Amino acid sequence: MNAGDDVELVARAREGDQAAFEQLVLRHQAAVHRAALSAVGSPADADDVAQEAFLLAYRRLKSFRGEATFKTWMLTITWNQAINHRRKAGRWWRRFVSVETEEGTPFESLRFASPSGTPEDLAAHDELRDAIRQAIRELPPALRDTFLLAQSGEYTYDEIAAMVKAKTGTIKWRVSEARRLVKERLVARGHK
Amino acid sequence: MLDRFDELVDDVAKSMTAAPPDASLAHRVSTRIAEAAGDDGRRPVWTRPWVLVPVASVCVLIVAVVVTREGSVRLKPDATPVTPPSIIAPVGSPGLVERPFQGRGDRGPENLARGPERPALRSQAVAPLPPLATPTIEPIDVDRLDVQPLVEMDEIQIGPIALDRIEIAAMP
Repeated sequence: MNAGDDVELVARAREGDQAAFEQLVLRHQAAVHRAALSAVGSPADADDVAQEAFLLAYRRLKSFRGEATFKTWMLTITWNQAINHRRKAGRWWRRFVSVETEEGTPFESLRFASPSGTPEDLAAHDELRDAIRQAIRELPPALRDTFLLAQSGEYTYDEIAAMVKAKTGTIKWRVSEARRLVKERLVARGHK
Repeated sequence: MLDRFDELVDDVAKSMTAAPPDASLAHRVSTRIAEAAGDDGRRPVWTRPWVLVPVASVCVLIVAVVVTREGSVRLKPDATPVTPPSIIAPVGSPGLVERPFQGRGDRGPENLARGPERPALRSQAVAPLPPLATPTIEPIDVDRLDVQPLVEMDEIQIGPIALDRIEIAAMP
């Protein structure tokens, strides 16, 4: 995937080629969805946000001047949509606070491999992961958003800076500060 | 010790955004775009901007002209001759000529066709009222009220307060 192909696809989509825009969606849907998920916390809500973001981008395609890459432009639209979605009726808060929802708390369902060992080791490992997840949820929104975006491995610091409208240096500081606070809270809860 | 948390924290954070998008996302977006394009094609001609804007402008212009003309007509000086104001006497006043009550049942069929009758108001000059006599009011006698004091206060005796002398030892 390269930006040159995006430019051509954008040009074709501007002329009304819907297949070209569908190609753009397929190229960037993972990045868009991940950004939305960082903000709203629920895969289903992230799907809705991603869909609305792509539709909005299609309608605004004529205003895309190519000063940034299509991906950066698309991520900025997505982030704005996601923040608006999060503000509506506190959906994000309910997702994060409730332990179980009808579709399962998304971050609970995404578990990574536990180490091999005794049942006690496995239980301790799960407990530690839960504690980390809880500590991340409790971060201030600016730190949490930036940290999740950065740790997703999908975006550069510059792309995150463009998304959340902050300087690259600020993004780096937020990531570092978020990690420090998470570790501090783990220690406060007795994990050493 | 805390360094071992770093990798784990990063892994947990990554897992929190690791859900893949819905497989039908691109298809749903394309469908919505096609629907939107279809809606534009079915749009009535009169709702198109290049039709709606001139029509709306003409409507606004017509309303503006009408309002302006109405305003200018009202601003013209009144040409009707000025007559001295006459006092309209209320119904039942001495100057008003009384008419016997005529109910609906008393009206003939030729009158019913004209609709309900309304009492006619007649303007007539009212004669000045006779001067009123000044009323005289007799003075009222009121007995004197003797009020006793509520409570008699005893004198409060406060003895002198004796303070012991405080001895402060010198600091070493």
